[in-house]
Amino acid sequence: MFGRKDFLDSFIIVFLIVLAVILFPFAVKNKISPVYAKPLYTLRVLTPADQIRNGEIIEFGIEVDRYKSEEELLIGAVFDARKLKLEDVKEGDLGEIKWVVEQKERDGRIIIRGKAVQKDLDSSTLLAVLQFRIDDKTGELNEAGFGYTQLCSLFFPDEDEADVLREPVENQIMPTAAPFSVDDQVVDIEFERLDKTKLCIPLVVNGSPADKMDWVFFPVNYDADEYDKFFQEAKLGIQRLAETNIWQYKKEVFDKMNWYAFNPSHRNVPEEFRGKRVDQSNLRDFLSKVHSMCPRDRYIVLVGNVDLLNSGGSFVGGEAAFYIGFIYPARGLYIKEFNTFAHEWGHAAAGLMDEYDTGQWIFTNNDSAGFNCTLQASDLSPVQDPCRGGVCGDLADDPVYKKPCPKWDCSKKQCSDLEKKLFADAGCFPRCSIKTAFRPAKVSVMDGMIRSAGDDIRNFNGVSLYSIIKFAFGNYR
Amino acid sequence: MSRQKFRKRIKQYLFLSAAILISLIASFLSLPIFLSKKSNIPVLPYSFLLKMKQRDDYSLVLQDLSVSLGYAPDYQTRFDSDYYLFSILSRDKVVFTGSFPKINLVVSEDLRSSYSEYKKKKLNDFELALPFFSSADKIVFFNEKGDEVLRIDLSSFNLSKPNFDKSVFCGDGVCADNENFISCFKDCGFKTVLKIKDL
Repeated sequence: MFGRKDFLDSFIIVFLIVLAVILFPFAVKNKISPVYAKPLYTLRVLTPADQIRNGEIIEFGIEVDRYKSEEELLIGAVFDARKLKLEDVKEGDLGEIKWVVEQKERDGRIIIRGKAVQKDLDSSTLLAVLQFRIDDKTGELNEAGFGYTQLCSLFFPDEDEADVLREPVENQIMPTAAPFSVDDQVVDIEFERLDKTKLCIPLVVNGSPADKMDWVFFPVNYDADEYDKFFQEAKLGIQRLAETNIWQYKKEVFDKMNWYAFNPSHRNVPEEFRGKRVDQSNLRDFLSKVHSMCPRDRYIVLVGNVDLLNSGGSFVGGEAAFYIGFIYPARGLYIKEFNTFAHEWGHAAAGLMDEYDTGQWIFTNNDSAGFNCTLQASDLSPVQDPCRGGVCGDLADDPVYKKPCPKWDCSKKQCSDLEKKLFADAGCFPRCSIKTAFRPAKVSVMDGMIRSAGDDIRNFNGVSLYSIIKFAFGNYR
Repeated sequence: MSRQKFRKRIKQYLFLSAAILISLIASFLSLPIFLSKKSNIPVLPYSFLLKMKQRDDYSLVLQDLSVSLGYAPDYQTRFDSDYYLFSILSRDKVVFTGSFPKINLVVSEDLRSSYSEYKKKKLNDFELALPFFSSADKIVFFNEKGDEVLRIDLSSFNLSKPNFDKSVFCGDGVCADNENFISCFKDCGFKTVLKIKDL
């Protein structure tokens, strides 16, 4: 007899089966459990520095690490076509590669596909060598070599882009190109698949907009046929932020953000702007009409191609509205030695102050604002900036700078566990927006262009991290 | 087959069909669990739009209030000085609290040359898009000291939801509160559902 128990058993079994049938295809399709390590790609300049000259050859090597035997390898490189001319793409130590080049006036993109034929290796292996001739038509590169290593960078192509890969193209003679740099630490960001049918294209979505700090990229100075570049550069921006030590606080910060790219081709975009290039003349009108069409706790206006800030092409930085957003020339994404994207993000996300000498102290009530700067020195009275001229000498390690300023001195104020942890290495270094204010560390991403500063120039100092975690993101989930 | 056996078989099939039907319904009903937000902040393509004026003494004056199309920020960043705090109330219960800075601070900078220019200015005339709560009856603004600087009684305004075609927003890439996986699978499909719960 089919009794109550049988009914219950049937119900449970059928319920589980139905639920599994419904969820399984999506689980597979959307990679719900992306618990695998992606290959790690790095880009290195192979040409010795003293041989880098205008008119000469420069070679970049793409190395791959953490790959598995027989794993498909897919990576892209973007280069500044105004400064580099592609001569050849050669295979490295991993065997045959296929590659394709897309060249435009200002930049070029190379997509490379290969296969790891060796066994799993711990050390990195050369996948490809990109050979360029330096042909600078901009005058931005100097003879001493400054800037040459910033011309090429890596990106992750979509599978759709990679589909165009066919047989290797032989010895293409390209117009100039010059890409940019990307880092040595490419992190495993789980980007969404670009869905260009949506108005607010999800790039990285970690939860409901109700619980996250939502960032939206808007394109300026991109032609309709360059929107793909805009989407890629938006992703590169996220990647640049992830290259900082923010990534070490993924749960506290990175996972509390959603990232979207505004789709200028979408049917909901006002006709006057749909599929058209927005430039300086109509930027304000454009933003006023579209800025609320996506979840927008913060915005990023990504300026492609032309320099919006009229700097004659040399501008490296941006314009940040504290707690609102920032305007950012996309070319800054390709500068390796300094992470200007993260710098502007620090202003816009958390109201962090500049730690270089701006000559301006914008607060009237002294220390109550500006988390990462203080007017009050430690009782050891540090006076001289140990990093003058952009170089931190041995003086920076003098004990006078190691004693923390009172604002972040846990021996003088009651500190939470988080403060104790993040203020542990804080010191008191003269110069923070003005010469007479003090910063917590000799170098950080909120500083200016410091040379010889090591990895710290890419990272937020502990005091900045505290304000980011506690104040900017403390209420997000 | 005897009549009794036939009736038994029919009964078994009925039980089985009922089990399948109920399990299907239960499956679909359980999906919204995955959709649940962790906060009560509305995600809607319309919001309260306040046109405000900031006086020299930083007090605030409301110039206009309407419900307008567009997503509102959630104002969840905290400040330690120079900010306004506001609460949206429904029957004297706070349903939402947020804060925003009292001043606009903009920096243009070229980090290569360490050039920068700060512009600090008051808000003056400004617009504020706040999350929409249909049950809201008051919005109260405070300064950082906790002094009330503006109280708005929403009952004195005609704040009906704007007329709009819901289908226009389906496909905007946001699974809003007025959408679900049935009404707008494109925005609220399983991927959204599953990502939200970090499955």
